[in-house]
Amino acid sequence: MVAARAALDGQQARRSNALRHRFERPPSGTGPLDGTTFLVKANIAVAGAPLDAASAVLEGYHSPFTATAVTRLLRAGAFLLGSTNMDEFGMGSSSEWSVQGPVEHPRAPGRVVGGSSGGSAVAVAEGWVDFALGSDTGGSVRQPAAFCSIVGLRPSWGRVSRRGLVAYASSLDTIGVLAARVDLTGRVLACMAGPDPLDATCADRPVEVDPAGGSGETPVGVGGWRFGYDPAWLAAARPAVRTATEDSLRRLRAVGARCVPVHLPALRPLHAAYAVIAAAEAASNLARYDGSLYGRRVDGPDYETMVTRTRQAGLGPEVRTRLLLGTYVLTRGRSRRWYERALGVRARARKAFARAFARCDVLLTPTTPEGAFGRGERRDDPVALASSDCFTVGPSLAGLPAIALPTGESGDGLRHSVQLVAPPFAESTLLAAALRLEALYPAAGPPRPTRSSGDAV
Amino acid sequence: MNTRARIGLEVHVQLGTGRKLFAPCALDLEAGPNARTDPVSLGLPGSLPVLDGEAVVRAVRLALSLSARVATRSLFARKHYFYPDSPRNYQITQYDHPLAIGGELPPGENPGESAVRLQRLHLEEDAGRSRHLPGTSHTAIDLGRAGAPLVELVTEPVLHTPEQAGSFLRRLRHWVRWYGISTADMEKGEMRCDANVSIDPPDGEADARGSRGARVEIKNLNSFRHVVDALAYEIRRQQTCLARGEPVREETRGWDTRARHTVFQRSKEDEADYRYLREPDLPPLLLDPAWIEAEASRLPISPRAARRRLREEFGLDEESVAFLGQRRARYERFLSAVEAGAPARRCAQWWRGDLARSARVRGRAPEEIAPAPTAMAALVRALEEGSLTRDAARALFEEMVDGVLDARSFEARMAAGARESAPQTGAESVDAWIDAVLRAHPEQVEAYRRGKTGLLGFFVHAVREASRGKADPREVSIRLRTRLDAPDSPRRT
Repeated sequence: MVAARAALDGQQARRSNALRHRFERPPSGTGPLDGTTFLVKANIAVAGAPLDAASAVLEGYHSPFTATAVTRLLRAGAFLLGSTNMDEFGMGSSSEWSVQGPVEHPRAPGRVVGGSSGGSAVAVAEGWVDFALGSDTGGSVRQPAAFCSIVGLRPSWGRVSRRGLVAYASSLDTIGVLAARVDLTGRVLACMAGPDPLDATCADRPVEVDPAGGSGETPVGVGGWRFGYDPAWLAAARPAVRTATEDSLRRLRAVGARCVPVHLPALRPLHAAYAVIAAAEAASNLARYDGSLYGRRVDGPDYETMVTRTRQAGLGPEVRTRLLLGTYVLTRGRSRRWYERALGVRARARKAFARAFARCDVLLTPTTPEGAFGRGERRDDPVALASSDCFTVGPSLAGLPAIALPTGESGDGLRHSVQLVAPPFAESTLLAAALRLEALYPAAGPPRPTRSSGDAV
Repeated sequence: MNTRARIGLEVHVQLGTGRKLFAPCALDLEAGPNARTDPVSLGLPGSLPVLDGEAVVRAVRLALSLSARVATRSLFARKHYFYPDSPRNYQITQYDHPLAIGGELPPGENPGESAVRLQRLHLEEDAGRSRHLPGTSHTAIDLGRAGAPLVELVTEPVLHTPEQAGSFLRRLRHWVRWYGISTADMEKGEMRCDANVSIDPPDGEADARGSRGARVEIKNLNSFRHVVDALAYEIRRQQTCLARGEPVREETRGWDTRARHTVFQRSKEDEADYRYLREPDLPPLLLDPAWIEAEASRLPISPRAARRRLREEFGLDEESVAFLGQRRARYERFLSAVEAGAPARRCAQWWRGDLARSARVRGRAPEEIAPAPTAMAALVRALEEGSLTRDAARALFEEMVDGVLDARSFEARMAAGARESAPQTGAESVDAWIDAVLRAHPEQVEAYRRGKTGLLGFFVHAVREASRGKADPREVSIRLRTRLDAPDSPRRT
């Protein structure tokens, strides 16, 4: 804990711009997370702490309550050390769209860390804390985990309470976990999962995640397991990524797993549907930031002017673009063509995934079509920026649990990443499969942190 | 030329749960501005709505009482508009899948008060209140009401006159109070109304809109008088337009209470696009058909049936029927006294006379201060038999109400009074009267045994009639119950 504090307050952390607010909350109990330290993404509420989702419009706002997930982690013995930088309101795939400025990649200067949970990914990859919470709407935990060579878990929608998570697109939002290894990831999930009287969409299903399932013992083999993959999805990835993914399949086959080709929903319609639904819900969820009650206000002679000025000054360009899109697709007369069609794609995607799971236990895909791209490369190209989410939005739309896992070296000091996807609420299967695959890459996980000489240790 | 008006009403009734619809927060509009708020109704980041079950129960009861079809699956939606008293800038309501469809408010007692068909009934949250501060450019916002539970009830456009609309609202208010859904105080905004009004096109000249003329909506009518006055004005205005050959435009108008006319607010084309969105934070509201059925069977007697019973079973006059049928608590208290053996007519007389007076001077309702059923029965009997003078009974009763005399002593005094002159009857003759009555009313006996135990009062009354007042009602009641609860009566001798 002392070391974590020192690391977070050190030069390297400052240079990376990965942290948003420093505040501390000691554990409120003891349990499976005793002795661990963590950070939360800046869109997760902690009573008395700033909560701004890296947006100017929430400047100075402090939450009066704590997210249920955080309360449970504190009760399980974890020590909270602050919040992390992110894309404003979770909208972005590079952690470049923050009121605080972009997050720097400590391992790969000039490249992005992924997003929107970029700060959380860096803090874990650098070993400052044991784990961090992120939020995953269309890939915001899995993609930065991939770019930073760590593990990123998105639970089933409804597995972890969203109470205390600043809403972006409610039907897609989840609180996820970033950690160096699968076992801790599973332990954290087990501690925060389960029904919550403050979130009506949080499933009243038993938490089948076995907290001891990943206690570091050598996992048993994968004999008899069926890993499904779609050649069409593989073909959409850059050659290096495709090769790395095929390598994972080969290694699994070598230890007795069966790799079966399956048909997954086509990528382009999935991505379009995701963009429409997420924007529509965002336009609704972010309507509340009008300067009336809390956060930043830019006054005007009347209510309309005040709201307009507040939102112009308080919301960043990426957020404004999505809100305009979201408003457009719900407008009378257009909703059928856009929003309702997107819902249709979503419903068909759910069915397609369900059909695929009739033939396999877990799906294996690349996490992203390529590795970390250059800083600023896509700031002005939202379509290219979003394409980085092409493999992650599908499971999001279908509410499926998915995990991003570092695999072989990619030659630039970083690692490739594959995504495993399981049926709804089958986190136990997902984590068991991830443990087995992780064991096939003994050297994987982030390189141990090397602190620069200027840092206190 | 046919210029008949067509009126449909949208009525909002606040459900009397005492808390907000989507948050465990007290609703208390008297607590002062913004005294009762919570993260959900303030729209704080990270807050999520959770539906209050009690509000659902009340709304379902109302729907069932109105014979509406309750949906086993209904959905919530977000209705978007920017307004300072709506902190999320959307309202959570039900849109394309409401809680209940159809139904009707049954006809009233007076001529012209026919049944009113309903379109739908749904749950939604209320907004806060804005008050423009006079002499400034400021508006004060009170979010204490934001999130209050409302049920919105939409009638078919089947009303034709302002008076019918007023009568409907009065009957509806009585109805929701009777079923314990809401106190529906219009002055407190617990019941509010929007009215849609159009003039039917001349016969055989149906326009593109079908048989309806252009519709005008009058918003926020918050008293019966405003509803009637606004509709009367608006109907005249539209008829004048049409008579001059000008079209009526589809628009939203308000009622200017001072100038006493409706004023243009906005045309339908300028109407906000609410961009309805399925509420992703609330799962579908699923209701078990068995539960709905059970709720339906638990509904109290309807106001109409209660009045019919007072009239037909107890032979009460219309004034008594109106008085006792005004509130359910009153009806039930009265009934309990009759079931305990109070002669119905004398009892009604006492309620409307002495009890009402005692209540009035204390600023309370008669049903609130009425004594326990047995004591009430004893009192009325003592009056009927003349064993207590009216003044003496009233003095004792008021002593009890004011806490000078405890309830038990009061009851003892009443019973003693009643017993003094109570004719001593042998068990044999009581049984004989009972036999006669049960034989004469086999259908009621059947009904009682099927569970309509409320008929006991009827039997007691009939036996007392048969005995010409000689049978002791309490004894009759006890024996009757024994007999009716046994499977083989009338008794074989």
